[in-house]
Parts: sequence; structure tokens; C-alpha cells
Amino acid sequence: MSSPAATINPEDRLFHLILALMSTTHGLNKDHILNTVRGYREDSEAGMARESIERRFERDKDALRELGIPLEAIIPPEDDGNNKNTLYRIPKGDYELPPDIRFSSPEIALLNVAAAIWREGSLSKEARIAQVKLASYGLVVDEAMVGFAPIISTRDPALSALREAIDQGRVVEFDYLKPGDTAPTARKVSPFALVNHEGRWHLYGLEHTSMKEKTFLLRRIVSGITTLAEPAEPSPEDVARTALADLEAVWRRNVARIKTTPGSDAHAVLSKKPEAVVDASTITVHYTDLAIFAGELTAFGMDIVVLDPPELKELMRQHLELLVADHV
Amino acid sequence: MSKPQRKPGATDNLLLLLALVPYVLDRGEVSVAEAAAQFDRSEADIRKAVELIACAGVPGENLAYSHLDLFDIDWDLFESEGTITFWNTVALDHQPRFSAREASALIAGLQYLQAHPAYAGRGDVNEVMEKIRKGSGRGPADRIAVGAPALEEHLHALNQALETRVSVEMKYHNKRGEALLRVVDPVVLEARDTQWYLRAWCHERQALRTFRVDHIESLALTHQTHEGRESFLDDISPDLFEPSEHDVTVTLEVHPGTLPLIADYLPRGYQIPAGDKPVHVDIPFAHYGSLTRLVASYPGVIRVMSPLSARTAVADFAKAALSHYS
Repeated sequence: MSSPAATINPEDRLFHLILALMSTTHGLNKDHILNTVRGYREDSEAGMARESIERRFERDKDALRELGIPLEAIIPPEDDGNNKNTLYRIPKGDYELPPDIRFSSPEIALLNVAAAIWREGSLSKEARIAQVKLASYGLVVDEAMVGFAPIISTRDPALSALREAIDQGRVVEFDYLKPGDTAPTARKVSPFALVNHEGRWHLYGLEHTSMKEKTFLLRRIVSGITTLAEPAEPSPEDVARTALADLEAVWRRNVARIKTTPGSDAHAVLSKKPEAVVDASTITVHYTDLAIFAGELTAFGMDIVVLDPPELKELMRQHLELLVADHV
Repeated sequence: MSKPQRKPGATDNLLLLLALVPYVLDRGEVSVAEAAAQFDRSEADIRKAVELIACAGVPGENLAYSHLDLFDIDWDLFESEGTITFWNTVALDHQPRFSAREASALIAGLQYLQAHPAYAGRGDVNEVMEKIRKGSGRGPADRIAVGAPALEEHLHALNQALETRVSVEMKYHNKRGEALLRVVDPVVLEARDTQWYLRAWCHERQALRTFRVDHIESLALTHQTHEGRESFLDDISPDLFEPSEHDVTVTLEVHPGTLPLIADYLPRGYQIPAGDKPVHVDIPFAHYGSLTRLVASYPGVIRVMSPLSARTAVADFAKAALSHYS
């Protein structure tokens, strides 16, 4: 069953690695794997440098983890720091879906739509993998996707790095520019959750300097994300939902009164905001972030006047003065 | 599933092997054509995958691959009729779990869907979420949350118009701020984050147009049915804003950190430069109405450099609005 190494493609080698690691109860050490598993064995026999084969094994382990395959590495207690004795295995129970979980056709269809929401940007890879796994149920998905195509954008450059850090449970550092400040400040945060509220991404986590849980708007992160080796503080239970509820509470608390030109675009758009109250030309609306809301309102130009609150009125004036100064 | 955008790589092929085994086992017998449709791959890809699986196995007692530790298929049936059926399988027999990352993407997606009229009334969404949580691998599966987009009053009507294929009459505010009466045949309702867009065949323009749902002042379903405009979907470009030859090119100065926010306006394939120095980008605009809105949304962050008429348009726009506050 041995073929020249050159004809064994990567998926063939990876598939055999999975089968071997799933069939062992106690685990296999690296020597055993490299000398017996198809793809490695042929390369070993063909005299390929041991170092290159070992590097390939490292990359293969990463490839399996990327697919969500639970690869376990067991280091024996008497280990001398040399990974020669590390035993690798894929516990069948961790690999397979528990037998009591089954999906119906409508459920598969629903999950496919849920995965399709991420078809752009940094979560699209996970979504695609999930869709192939869903397809393996063999159910016919006939629910029409035509007519409905939602997308959540995941364009914020910090999003991928923060997801990675959350998954690995590690502390991050970044520069954050608060509205009104002229220079960013360095922050050190244990990242807990990513929350999309009103279409904007937020990081929720524990800030180390203040030891307080805080919400950071991703678009105000002005540096790259540095992930430290330091492990993150443990996150509270159900943290993403709590963070989202916090943002929704802020939205509810903040109320603005705005006078609009009747029949204008501004009137049409603002009166359709969730829970907006329209009283002739005056509209009462909720908002989350003062600076962002002021930006949205500035785009309506002379079709609106902010009546309340005073801090929003003042910010509008500053925005408009800045626009004039920048363009005359 | 949608057509793959790119050539499948080794990871895609590996995933196909892992998914194909339980799929065939559950069904007993599957034709190559059915499997190809199910996984959105070519029949040749499926054949290659089956041939690879059929020769695969684990090294046995003597550390070599022997027939007992190998997959086996009905080769005759496969070669003569293109039917896949397993006689023996090794290690794999069930569907793989979702990784914690995949599970969190699915759960956040389901949360978001709950806001859509077509799903809001469905009782099974929470049940499915629970199953995904239970069926996911180790690691945090609930570290992403997505706030539901607001339920727009027009969505119900538009959804109904899509299902019954009737034309819609609406009063719409365009990017210039003009209110227009339009009769359209809805093709697809799209959401980007919290913003809903209607793509529809416009009777007046005799072309496909994109309308922001929150810019629709009022709408009514007509009694006029149409044959369905789905065929146009293939021609729809993924960009919401399509350039035209009448556009004026405007040079903007933007901080690189702000570029992702205006990605919808950037030229296709634009690479965001590294560093923190302001960059200049040329963007076509159909009229200064949409330019002033964009620039005014990010005061102090986006500046118009040229042409002079565009700078003046923004300054005049801001001066007029400022008169309300002095």
C-alpha cells in the first residue's frame, strides 16, 4: 500500500492522520505516527530530512485544529521536556456530535441561513466549514434563500485578532482614541466578548489599569492588536449577552429631541428609528453613543435641529464648525 | 449553498472527506450526482474523494495497512452506476461536532435572524441554539452577540410582496434628498448590519435599483403581479453602489483607520494601506448630495481635497446647518 511520496496529496495524509489518531485509545507518539501513517511513512522511507517531516507534522496539527478537530496532546508525567514522549489522539466522543443531538430539515435550513450571514469577512471561514458539516446531514434544504440576504460586516481590522485572543484566553494591548481626546491611550484588556450593537462591533473586557469591565468600540482602536502571552482573567458567565444588554440599556437611557423639516429625508429616516416618537415635526429618538449619533445627524445638514440634550446640541455645533473650517 | 468563489484547497478537500462518510452511511446508497449537489462540488471532485476514502484506513497490528483496517466500497456499483455505498468503514461514522468558533458564529447568526419577519415567529430558533451549544467542541461558544436589527414596519409588507410577487408602489427619498414615487418589483431584501436594503426592478428606470428601506416614506402593495425577477439576481453585483460614467471623481483625505468605515465607497479590491498617515483616495460620486452626507458623517476625519467645487459644496452645506445653532 505504499506509493511514492510525491503522489500523496495533503488531504490524503491529513485524513489518514485523523483515522490513526481516532483509532487509538492511549495515543500515539510522534515517532510512531511518522513511521506508520500514510503520507509520513512514505516520506520517511524516501529519506526526506527528519526535520522537514516534523515541521510538516506541526503544520498538520494546526490544520486539524483550524477545522475544529479536537486533537489532544498528552504529556506523560515523567517527561523530560522533550516532546518525543507526547502522545497524540482524537477522542471519538469529542470529535463526533453527541448521539442525542439530531437536526431536522427546517433546522438545517435555518442554520444555513445563520451561517450565510457571515459570508463576507473574517468569520466567513468558520461559516463555510460549518456549512459543509451541515451538508453532511444529507437533508434536503429547500427553504428558499431568495428574497432574503442579510450580511453582518466584519470589516473592522481588529476583529480577527480579538477573536483569536478570546479563544486562546490571552490578554491584549491596543491604543484607543476616546471621542474628544486628541491622542490615543494605551489599554491592556482581558478580552471577554465581541458584541455587535446597532451595526457596530464592540469589545467587552476587563481593563487591567482600572480593573473595571468596559466596552470598547472597535472603530476607535487606532493601533494593531498585540496579543500577550499572559493569560486573560476568567470571564463571567454568559458574558456576551450581558454586554449586549448593557449597550441596549445605554441606548434606552439616552434620548434626543430633534426638529426636522417636514417631508424631508431626515424626517423619513429618523421617524423609522426603533421606538421613535413623532409629534408633528419633532421626533424623539434613542441613541447609544453621543459622538457617533452626532455624526449621523450632521449628515442631514439643515433638515434637522437638535433641541435636546444640550451636550448633543453643542457637539453638533462643533462638528459643523469643523466641517466649515476643513473646507473653506 | 452558494457557488464556491475559489478553487477548493486541501482543507476543503479534507472537510469533504470527513463529511462524505457519515452522509453516505446515513443514506446507505448515494449517487455521485446527488453528493455533488449536496456539497456543491463537481462530480469529478466527489469521485476523487470516494476513491481516496475507499483506499484509506489505519495501520494495523503489524504497523502496516491491512485490508481489515481499511475502508471498503462496492466498487462494481461505483464504477458501473456511479453509486456510492460502503462495505466497511474505519473510525468515522458520525457527523463531526462544530468547533467552539463555528458554534459561536452560528449562534450569533441565529440571534440576528430572530429579528426578521420570516423567523421572528419561529419557536424553534432557541431550541436550535441550545443544540448547537451542546454539540460544540471545547472552548467558549458564546463569546459573540449580535443585537437584532430593528423590525422595520415596511419589512412585513415587503416580505409579503416578495412571497406573492406583486409590485409595490412607494414614496422614496433618494440620495439627492428628492422624494420620488416609484413602482417596483421586489427581488431581494438585504440587510447589512442594521441597515435594510431592497433590490428591486424599477418600472420607471427599467433597471435594477437598490433602495434603503429606511428611506422609504410610505409603501403599498399593488394588485399587479409579476413573473418573478429572480433571474436578475445573477447579474447583481455585490457592490451596493454601482459606478456610472457621469460620476465626478472626488479626492478625499482619510485616516487609514477610518477606511473600513467607508468600505462601501472604496474602489473594488482597494487595499487598505498600513501606517497611520492620512491617505488620499479617489472616489466617484453621482452627485454632491451623497458626498456631503458621507463627509459630514465623519467630521474632522474625512476631508475633501479636490475638486474645489466639492469642497465648496461641503462648506456651504455645513454653513447652512450651522445657522440653526448660532
